[in-house]
Amino acid sequence: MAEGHVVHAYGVAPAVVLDVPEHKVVPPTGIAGTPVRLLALGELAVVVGDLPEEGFGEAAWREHAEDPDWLEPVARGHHEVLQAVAAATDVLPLRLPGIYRDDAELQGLLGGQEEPLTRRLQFVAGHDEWGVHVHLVEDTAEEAPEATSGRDYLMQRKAQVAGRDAAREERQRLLTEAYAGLAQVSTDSVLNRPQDRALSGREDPMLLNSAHLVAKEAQQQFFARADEVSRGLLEPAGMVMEISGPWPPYNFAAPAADGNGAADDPGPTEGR
Amino acid sequence: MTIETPVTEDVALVDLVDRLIGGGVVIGGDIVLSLAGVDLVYLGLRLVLAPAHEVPALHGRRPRP
Repeated sequence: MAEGHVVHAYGVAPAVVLDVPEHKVVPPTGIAGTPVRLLALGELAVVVGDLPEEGFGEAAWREHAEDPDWLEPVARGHHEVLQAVAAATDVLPLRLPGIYRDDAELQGLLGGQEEPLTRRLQFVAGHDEWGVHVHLVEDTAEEAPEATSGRDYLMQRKAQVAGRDAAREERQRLLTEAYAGLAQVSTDSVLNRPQDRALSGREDPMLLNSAHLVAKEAQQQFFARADEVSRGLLEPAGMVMEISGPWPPYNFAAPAADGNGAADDPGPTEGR
Repeated sequence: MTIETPVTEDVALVDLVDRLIGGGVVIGGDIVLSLAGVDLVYLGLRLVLAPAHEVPALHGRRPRP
């Protein structure tokens, strides 16, 4: 690594990728057009790049992390590299910001996690992540007729509030059912906090923001289920579902905490 | 229901932030610990990405037509 540079870590892949020509696994360039390379680490290969410290080092992160003009190209570069790697092999995305002084520091930090990361790679192997957003486009609660007296108005107002609460509760029930339906055909699922309007740039509020780890061979089944819950449960209640993907498994990359894994659970409890 | 296959340049920044800073493996190290986390990043983005009428003070940061 050259002087005045930091090592940016993109993701972790199985070490077998080290046996194939590098250009078949990683794209030639990543963030800010910098070269991307593979770093060996036991059973793993780490996808890394060398970035100029000035502009992308710790000071830059401290100063600019909340500035979209700076963050956006970094995030897109990181994502593009992972998309390319995911097309070639299994990969665990590493969280931003992931910059290190040099290869040795990164290898030292990752070394202790080699085993859980290897197990996690096996867990996500042959899967894609799919994102689900549900927006409320039409409030189906009924509007009250015009009130003719103050008393009428208060009664109607009360009924309106009750109606809105009931509609909200009903939507919650439908969303829970929809999510459970999708989770059934997924290997793993997570619920994330819905994005607020200022961030999503949409007028209609987001009611559900979930991610699903779906086996490649179960993909059609997942789409069919999504279509089913969308038509059967959500649309009649004024909600629309949007699916995005395939994503590298960002939401499923972190090794599960002890006793909280599905496929990587060692089985019968032992000293838990 | 709509299905979108994200061509990278079409992916919304908020969706990337959701995944790249909210997800992924945390290795540790100095920088990770020094950033206050995803909420601050969201706050910064919210201020800049919010529709102009909601955050009038920040007009200067968006490109003008």
